Amino acid sequence: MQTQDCMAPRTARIRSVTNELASGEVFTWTLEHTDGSALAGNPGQFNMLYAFGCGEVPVSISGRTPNGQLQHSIRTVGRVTDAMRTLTAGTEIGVRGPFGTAWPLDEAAGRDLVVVAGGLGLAPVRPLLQLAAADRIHCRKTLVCYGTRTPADRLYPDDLRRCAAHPRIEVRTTVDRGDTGWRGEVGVVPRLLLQGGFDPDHSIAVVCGPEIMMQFSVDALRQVGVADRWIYLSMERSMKCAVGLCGRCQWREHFICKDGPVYRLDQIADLLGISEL
Amino acid sequence: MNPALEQHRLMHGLNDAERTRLLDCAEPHHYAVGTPVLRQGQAANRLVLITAGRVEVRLSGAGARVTSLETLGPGETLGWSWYVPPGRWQFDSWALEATDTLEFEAGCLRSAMSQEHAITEAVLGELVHTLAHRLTAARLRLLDLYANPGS
Repeated sequence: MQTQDCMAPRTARIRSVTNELASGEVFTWTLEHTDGSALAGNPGQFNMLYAFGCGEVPVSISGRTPNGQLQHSIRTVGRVTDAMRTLTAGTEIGVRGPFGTAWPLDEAAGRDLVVVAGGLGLAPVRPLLQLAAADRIHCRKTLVCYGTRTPADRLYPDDLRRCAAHPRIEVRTTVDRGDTGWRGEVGVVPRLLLQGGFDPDHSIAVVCGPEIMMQFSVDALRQVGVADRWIYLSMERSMKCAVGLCGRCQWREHFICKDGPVYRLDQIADLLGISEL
Repeated sequence: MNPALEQHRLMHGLNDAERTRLLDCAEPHHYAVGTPVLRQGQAANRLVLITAGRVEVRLSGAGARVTSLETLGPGETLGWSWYVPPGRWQFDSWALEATDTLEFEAGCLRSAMSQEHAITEAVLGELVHTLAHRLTAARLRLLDLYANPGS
């Protein structure tokens, strides 16, 4: 894609809107081009979604429907996403992208795939869950470790159930605070990694969530013996132009919109946890 | 000896005689799902090693709602209050699943620890590991790991 084209949004249509949480705080758009065709994009990449007359926000690709339509899950965190929440099926929006690096699916071949997610961080790895459940990732097995504050904050329960029913996928979920009906794990997500169940010498881990959660998950992965070279993280910064021009998402020498958001840990290990960056 | 127990931190650095001395303090127990393992406020009289199943650690109090603090599984130990004054359980623990444990009687443990330095080191090593783990977990929860930046 040429730079001049990258700055011009294409029109897309919201095919459907799904609330992911009872609070309505997170919703998923299924998008299609106005001619009905599917939008492009690989797991891990993001699009700039434009609510006309309101503004544009970066949103990770969070899956595809069985017929291939692209999905984006959006959390309402400000003026633009609040406006997006009011848009209904059939509304046209602008889309620029896809941008950024993708999860290294090819590298998972023959290895144990360990997916670590916290909170809304499940959205960018959800395409991996969908592909694993459809046997479209050539890994030996998949371990999904997912943590949220409460049971009510868990996203995509149907996808998690589908994965849990797959013979080569294990799903571990944990919450910070259980409710009266919760009989699952209580504790933080790095603890799920310390329970083992995968071969650290032949694993690839993908981690997505708030940065502090990723730091502690990285510590746990290192503790059980996964090398930095086999750990991938999706970094998040405020992205604006999405093509490395404006510098809004600069992270020392990296432009996360262009060089990321998916990084291999050994490329960024010295930057993790530096709050000033 | 159960291979999982043989590999456990409690057994690290112990010779056969010391292991036997330590295991002489232990009794296996079984808890049906939904039954208490430890009750907050009662005399703390044992160190509990979970060998199968899952246990929930809860904090409860008069008029307060029950708060689930953590779930523990096989290989994890429960119960450090027997070593720390006032010697009463600080939390409730309930079996979330059918749970098997190996429980080391506190008086017997103290006696073994007073006689065998290696046993003292092994038991205190396990207690420190457990306390460090719980402290880290509590700190991580204070950090609110899943919060969005700025929220």
